[in-house]
Amino acid sequence: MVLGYRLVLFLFTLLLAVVVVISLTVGRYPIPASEVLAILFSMTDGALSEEHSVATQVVEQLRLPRVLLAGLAGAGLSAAGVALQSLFRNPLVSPDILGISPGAAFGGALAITLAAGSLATVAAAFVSGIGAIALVTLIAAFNGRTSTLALVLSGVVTGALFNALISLLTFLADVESELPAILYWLLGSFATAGPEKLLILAAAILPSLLLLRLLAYKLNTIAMGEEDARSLGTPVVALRWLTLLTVAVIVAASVAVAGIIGWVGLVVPHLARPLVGADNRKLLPAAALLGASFLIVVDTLCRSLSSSEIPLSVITALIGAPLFMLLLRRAGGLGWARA
Amino acid sequence: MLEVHDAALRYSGGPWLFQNLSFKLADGESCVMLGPNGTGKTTLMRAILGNIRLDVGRVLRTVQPAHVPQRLEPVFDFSVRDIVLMGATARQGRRLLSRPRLEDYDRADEALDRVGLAAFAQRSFGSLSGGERQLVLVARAVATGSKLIILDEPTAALDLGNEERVLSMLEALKKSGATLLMSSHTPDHALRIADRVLMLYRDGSYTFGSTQHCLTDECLTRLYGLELTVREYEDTEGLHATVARRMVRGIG
Amino acid sequence: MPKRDGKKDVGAVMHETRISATVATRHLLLALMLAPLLCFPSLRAEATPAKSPVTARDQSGRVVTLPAFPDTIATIPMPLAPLLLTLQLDDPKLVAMHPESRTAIEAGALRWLFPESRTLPTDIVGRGFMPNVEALLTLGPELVVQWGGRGDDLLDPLERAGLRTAAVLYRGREDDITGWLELLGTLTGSTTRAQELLELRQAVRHTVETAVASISAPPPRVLYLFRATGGLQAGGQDSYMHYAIELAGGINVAASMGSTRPVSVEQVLVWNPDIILLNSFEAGLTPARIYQDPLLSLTPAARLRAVHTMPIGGYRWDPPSHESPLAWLWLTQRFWNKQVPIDYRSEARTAAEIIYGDRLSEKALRILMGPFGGREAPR
Repeated sequence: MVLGYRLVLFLFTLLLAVVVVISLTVGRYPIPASEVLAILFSMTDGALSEEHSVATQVVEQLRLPRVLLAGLAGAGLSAAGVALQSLFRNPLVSPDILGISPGAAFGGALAITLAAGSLATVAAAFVSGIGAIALVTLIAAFNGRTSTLALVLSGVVTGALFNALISLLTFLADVESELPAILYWLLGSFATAGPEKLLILAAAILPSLLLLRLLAYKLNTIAMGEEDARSLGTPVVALRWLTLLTVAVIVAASVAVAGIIGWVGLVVPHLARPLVGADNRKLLPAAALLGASFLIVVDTLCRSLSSSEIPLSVITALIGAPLFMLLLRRAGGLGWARA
Repeated sequence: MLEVHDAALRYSGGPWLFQNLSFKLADGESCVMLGPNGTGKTTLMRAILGNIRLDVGRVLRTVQPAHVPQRLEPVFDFSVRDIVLMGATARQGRRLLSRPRLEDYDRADEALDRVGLAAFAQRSFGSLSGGERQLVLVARAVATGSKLIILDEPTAALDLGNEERVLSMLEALKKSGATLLMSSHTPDHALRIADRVLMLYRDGSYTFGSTQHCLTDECLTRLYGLELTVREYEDTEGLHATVARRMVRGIG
Repeated sequence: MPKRDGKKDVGAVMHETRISATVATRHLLLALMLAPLLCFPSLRAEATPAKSPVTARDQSGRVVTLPAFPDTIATIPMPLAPLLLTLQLDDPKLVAMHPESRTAIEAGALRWLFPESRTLPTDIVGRGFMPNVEALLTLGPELVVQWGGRGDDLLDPLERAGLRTAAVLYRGREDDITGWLELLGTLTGSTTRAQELLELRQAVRHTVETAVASISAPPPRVLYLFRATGGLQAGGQDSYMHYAIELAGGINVAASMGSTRPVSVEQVLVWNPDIILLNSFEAGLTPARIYQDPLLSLTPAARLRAVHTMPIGGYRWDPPSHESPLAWLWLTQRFWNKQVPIDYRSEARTAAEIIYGDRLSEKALRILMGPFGGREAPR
């Protein structure tokens, strides 16, 4: 069922372009598609628009940052999912299992409680997320085990710890002002997209994507089993840590700018794998492109289904869960090896 | 090529699997490891590959061996070519960011051709039969270009036809100068391809020597705890090779 | 599948190169799209002239400049909608508000006092107090009032979209509301009216304070329950009810807590309040709930039947609002009743007349006076 790779990649890129344009057209403020396209072209021409019209502002300052942010996060999380599924040799793994999301969420929630500014919140979330992965590895190493199973267990423990701390924060937070802010932030949203957040996320995700792509071949070997990989010349330990660190950067940055986004890292790899095969060198770019489209679509739904923003987690779960169940039913043709 | 000195190994807290184990394999020699389950064949192989440490003793080898595991069950469906390619790139050493080069693709294709599976290159590994998979793994080992190939019961799960294919392949490899170390439950294999035999007994002792020397009634009986006899057949011309060399197992 | 001849080499190279090229192109595309954004200055609608007749410093310290008194105003904080309506009594410029403001208006007399406000759009809010910027841009109000002190994320999107914004604060103090009146008075050119409302608040405060000061009886211990169904939440010293309770001469038993917090039934029993005030938000919440609760009915408040639900006059009387003077008077009545020489109904009526002016109908007045009990002496 593997289509020509180049064809698939082209289709995914085309899909992304279409999704981007459509998303820029959708919104409460009515702007016809032709005008959206005109604004986009005037942007890529390099000529700064002298038009300070409201429509231009809406597209450039409101919708475009959101779309780009969602695309970056979607690409990053999907690639992270692919890498982790190879690293842990398990198709059910997603970036959420390592405790990084709750770790980063805790940092952000703490910053909100302390009434820090928006950028400080982002920084705190990022640092906290990296701290979480450090804690995970420490716990695993402390018990003298650093096998992948030990890492998963440590991740579960760390995640539980940070979730408990977040609950503590929600208890201590001011019910009227801080608590709603924390809860909404935890549920995930791109509503606060802006140039600074876009820069931060790009700075975190683009290099990470590149690095994962470079590691892709060695990640193939580790999907065979660690001992086998080692006899094939793969530096297993170094690969593991580098992959985990890169995934941590991606997840922490995503949570820092947009709160917790679930399901993307789990579902998108499984959507892409039947189409391009399991070779990570092909799967990573394909999943990244598909993930970008996926999250942009989700975000557009979140902001346009009602005047009140639906949290990201709700839509990703509502779409992701049934999709995943559908994939499970057809597991035979999924690109998973038959048992 | 390969030297093991005074090796001893045990599972933590358990009895010693073997002690004071020493043997040498010269370039181009092949050795079949025989022994009942639980005598440490696989564990010794892991030590020779460098995946675990010996409790006592040393392993000296001049090259990094290639490994043909008994079974490979990748979680995701890789193509046959991908699998063999992984062997081809093993030469590059432990660099994280390395990727396959043109010559690696070449070597992979050559190796596949050698085992006769060139037509299977784009098929998914999981869709192959047991014997075909084993051949792919052998191709992978060949692709590494290593002169020392370590095989863990390569024909254990195969039917006669597939077993024959694999053994023929191994014979060919031996002819081309590879050093093979193979574990097996079938003493015939030793007769077929081994210059040397390593027998690991249940009591932790071992025998290492030439095939003629070791494949005797006494050694085999002691090894498996069954009354075993070796019969030689004069007239093997015209008979299918495998059947001709089949050992008759009898009681009494 | 590449064949083993010269073509394959090229094929493999092309294969690899094309993938890398695609990846690189994608990165490049993203970068291209980012670049204009970085060059793009954050837009404000300040292309207009230096002459700005309306300037004020909002409660976050930002300077708000408007080219003229705004003809269209949108409010996001809930109490600011009714406040604006009463400030601009005859001709309110409110064009959109928070959905909760509408709920509160529908719940009380305001729906008769300002019937035109019932059809104003409320979809300008995303979640919590996050602005729905596109909805606001479609409406195009000349001024947006938003909460300050709750993070840049509430204000930045408005700024970037070029909407003029004034930030207000709520820290549980009367200063906050006087600040709202002064700020909006300046921005809307209704300084006289703002002054009138401020003086009313001042006057009622003074009346209550002096009356209460003259009492020698011990002050009642009061508990305000911000939530009472599905778990109890009490108002601590940073909540506005704390101010109102203490102004009216009571003691807030929950003062040791900072802001509004969940509390246990045991804690309430320890506090042993003489009076319990229930919030006006929760539907179906009545004093009966306390009286029938096996534990809470043991409090002095329950035994003495001193559990009261905060009324809704024109607006809810628990949060700070334009009607706070009425709330203060009512609280004083609950705490002291005849022990204090205030003619509650008379004072309340005067206050209502000042707040609502010509809009005050008999029906509305009846609702506003209702909580004070007794009957209106015919005039």
